[in-house]
Amino acid sequence: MRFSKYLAISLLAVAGLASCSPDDEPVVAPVQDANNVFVINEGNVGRSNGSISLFNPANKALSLDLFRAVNGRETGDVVQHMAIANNRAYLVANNSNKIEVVSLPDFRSVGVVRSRLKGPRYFLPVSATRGYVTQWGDYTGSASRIKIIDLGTLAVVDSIDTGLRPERLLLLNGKVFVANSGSNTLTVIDPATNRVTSTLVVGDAPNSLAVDKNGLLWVLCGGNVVYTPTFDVDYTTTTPGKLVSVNAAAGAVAGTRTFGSNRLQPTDLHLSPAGDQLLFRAADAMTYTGPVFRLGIADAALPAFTAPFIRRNLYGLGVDPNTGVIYGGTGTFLGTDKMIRYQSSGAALDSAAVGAGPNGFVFY
Amino acid sequence: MHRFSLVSALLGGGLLLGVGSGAARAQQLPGAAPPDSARLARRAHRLAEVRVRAVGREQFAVGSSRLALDSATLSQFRGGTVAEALAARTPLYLKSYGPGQLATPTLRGTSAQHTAVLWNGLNIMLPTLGQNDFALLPLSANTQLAVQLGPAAALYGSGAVGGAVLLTTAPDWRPGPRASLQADAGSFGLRGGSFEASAASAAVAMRVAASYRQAQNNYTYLRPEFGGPVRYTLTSAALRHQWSVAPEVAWRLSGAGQLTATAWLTDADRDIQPAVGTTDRHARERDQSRRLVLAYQHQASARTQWTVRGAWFEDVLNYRDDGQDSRSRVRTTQAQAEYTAALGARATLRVGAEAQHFSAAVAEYGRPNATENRAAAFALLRFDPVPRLRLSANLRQAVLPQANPLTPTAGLEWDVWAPAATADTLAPARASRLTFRASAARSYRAPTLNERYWQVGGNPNLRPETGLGYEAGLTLRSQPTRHLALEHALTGYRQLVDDWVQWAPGLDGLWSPRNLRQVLTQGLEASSRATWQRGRHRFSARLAYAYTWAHTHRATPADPVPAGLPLPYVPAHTAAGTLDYGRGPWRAAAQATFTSYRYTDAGGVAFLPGYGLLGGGLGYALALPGRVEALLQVQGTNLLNRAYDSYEGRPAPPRAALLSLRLSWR
Repeated sequence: MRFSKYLAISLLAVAGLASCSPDDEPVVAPVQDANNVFVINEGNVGRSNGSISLFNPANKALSLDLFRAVNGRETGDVVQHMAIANNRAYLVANNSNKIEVVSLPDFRSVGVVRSRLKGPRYFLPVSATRGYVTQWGDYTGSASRIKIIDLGTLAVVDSIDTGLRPERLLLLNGKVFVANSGSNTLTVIDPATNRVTSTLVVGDAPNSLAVDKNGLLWVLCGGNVVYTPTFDVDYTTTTPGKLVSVNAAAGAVAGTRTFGSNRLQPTDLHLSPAGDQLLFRAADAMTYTGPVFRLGIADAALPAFTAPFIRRNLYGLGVDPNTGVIYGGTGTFLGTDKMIRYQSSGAALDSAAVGAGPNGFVFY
Repeated sequence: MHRFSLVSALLGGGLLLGVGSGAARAQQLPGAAPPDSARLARRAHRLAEVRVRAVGREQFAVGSSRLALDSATLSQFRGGTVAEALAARTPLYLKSYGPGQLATPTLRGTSAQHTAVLWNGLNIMLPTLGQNDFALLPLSANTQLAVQLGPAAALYGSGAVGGAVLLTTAPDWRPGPRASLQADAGSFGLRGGSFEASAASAAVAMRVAASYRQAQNNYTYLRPEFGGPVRYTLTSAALRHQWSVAPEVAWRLSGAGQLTATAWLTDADRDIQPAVGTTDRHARERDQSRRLVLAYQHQASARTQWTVRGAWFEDVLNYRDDGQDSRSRVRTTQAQAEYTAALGARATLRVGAEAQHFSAAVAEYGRPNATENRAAAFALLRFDPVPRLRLSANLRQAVLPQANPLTPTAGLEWDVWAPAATADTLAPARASRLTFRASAARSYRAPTLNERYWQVGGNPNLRPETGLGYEAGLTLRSQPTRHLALEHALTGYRQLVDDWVQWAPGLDGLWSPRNLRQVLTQGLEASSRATWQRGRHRFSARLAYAYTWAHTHRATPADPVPAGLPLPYVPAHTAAGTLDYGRGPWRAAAQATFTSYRYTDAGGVAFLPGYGLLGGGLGYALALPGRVEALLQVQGTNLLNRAYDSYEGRPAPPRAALLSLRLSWR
């Protein structure tokens, strides 16, 4: 019957159409020996679309989703952090409760830490064989602690209690300093014994740390944000942020300065290549984005929120330790976001499309 | 039996649409009046015998496209939902999170909020979300399911931008009682049942339809992990229960009036499946809808008829997970009145008005009660100057809190070739009939309550979206032999939707819905259908294909997404093929659907690959003593066991089977 022939041809044609897809093979710019910029694209919560983009500043080549391109599967849900040690990169997927481990420079998956983690945040290799990862549990901080990971077996071998909602952590003078963002303290740990040696009171909600050229530890505290029952911010009780300096050797707070306004929460502290300028964002408590501020380590006064260094509201921030080029990430979370580069003077250089929610940059 | 004399003055073609032989009329794509009815329109003396029926609103949708599922198809899906029937039997793409989970359509490239859903002529879109979850609409309650494609605001009001899904119940006036009971059992813990009973006397017709379903949905899926693919079992995806009860009573009052009371109660309790690779937050949702409609239809004279409807709806949506507890309840009160009159022998005019009042208790609105009133007046005109030429012109003036959109529609159907009028006989002419169709329509979508009131971000200053769309097409019908009927249709359309609302972060970074862009959708729809009937054999085959192109046409400066990008979850190519065969007590059905790749977000980079699915069923009807008929059906879905995601991160079910036994008594 003619009709059946027609039907068969049509079915085949339609099957052909259904199978065609957009360009399936993203361009992979190989990881170079040096001068690589990894963009940590957090992705949308619950969508498992976090990714790592690789940017080559020399030729501006960009691979949008490096892990997927190399390993053929997704990176994870809420890729919060990436840390590199001994030619391995550790990708912390917060809402997947896992850490993907890849080798460098090929970015091939070599293992995964996927048990006994709950809401991991930031990773710090503390020795050739051990790594620390801060974790929250759920957003209330129900399982706030550090998990100790055997970098050989990639198993969680132990844990260390911290304050509420431990965030970024840093190794200085043989001690690990952990910012407890749900409280007002730093937990100080001896990585040789995995024991807490002291707890320092800083300001409300410490979130990030940096060490300047003089070895002084700077702690940025966002301030305690209070929300109203109608999901707005209660600025009558929200506390302003603080910038605290800590003498790490003495284990004591050296100085504390309070920001003039509680309308923005300072966060995401970075250092200029020379180690004499502090850069950070001051984020809105509803959007987590905000403009960039800069101050010298010797400056007497904190910058006012009305006078930003970079006016654009950014979700992620990074400073190239070699060139001083400043990297910003937008936070629209609409599929793709933008990485915007600025000269160290703050003048915009260029921009490129990256994954959703670029929250940080790793220079390697 | 009541005789409906208005019919002769009104349009015969329309009156027969729902009454004609189900198989032949079913799923006819264009809304063109079928050849038989065109002839019947000239046979006034016979029309008096046609049963009482109101002139359907679709009679004013001349020149636009319509898909209808026939009663035999609905019967196959009796235990299922509107989502399942549309996904399996039409080329429409529904993005579905999984069996029993959120399922929403994209009609002609638009979003779920651009599909109006009407039940017995009343808009039942959830006022908070401005859309319906088609998995929450059990089919059992309805006797008809049709999809109007393309903008049709003049007829169907707010939301009919991409199209409208029309659910209808009709009283069964066949005398005497009848009842049927069905039990279903399927893969992955699916259990269900349905019951339907009706009885009618000369003055009263009653019908009640109820259904129940539950499913574990504990199927397995493969997922790439470090070291190779790992097989997981789906958890937190159970449909704990879903039931629907729909009673209806119709009274013929003395004189020429009919009073109809209809209710539809639905209740679903389900887990909300997390995306794979993310943390399970143990989300669970309870959805309850209670819908009551009271309608009175009056035959004022041989040439005039009026109808009033009053409705009260209550929709409850309670969601909770490890971190959230969100409760909402919306009450909708609606009233509608319309008056229909024949203008001479060739035209029908309907004028009417409707009003809606919403009252929403939603914790996230930051106020105890949010209300909104909407109203509209409409005039619909159908004019057939000669039988070969059918025209319609419609107008709706809406009154919304934000703006008052005026939405006209015009349509034309012209039989380019038509068989010469035969004598007074219904014998099919073996000649071909080619019909040209065209329509143009404005459409609108009122901002939803969530868009206006949601804390934080709700934007009370949103303007309604407005669309302007055109379509044109050809339908060729032929009857090469006495037993075979063919129908081919080709339609092209284009629509610009302005003030398209999108939730996006503003310059301050705060997420808020704003009128950000103009969206252009255009496409082609082609379908072919063959129906063959000889002796005890009944065969029909249908193939439908749609090409859809939906892009941001213009972006306002505030739009974070540049113009030119494709809309997410709009596949460029969709197709569906269905085969139905019956011989005596046997019936067999097969369906194949194809869906091409879809982008998963506004960036136009990440996408899900296309997929093709095959399904089928076999049924056997057995007459038992005591006027009882037993129908045993087995149906299979995803017969090729394809692994695919309809929605990102939600693996769709593998091959599955459903066994049903129905006992019908009359």
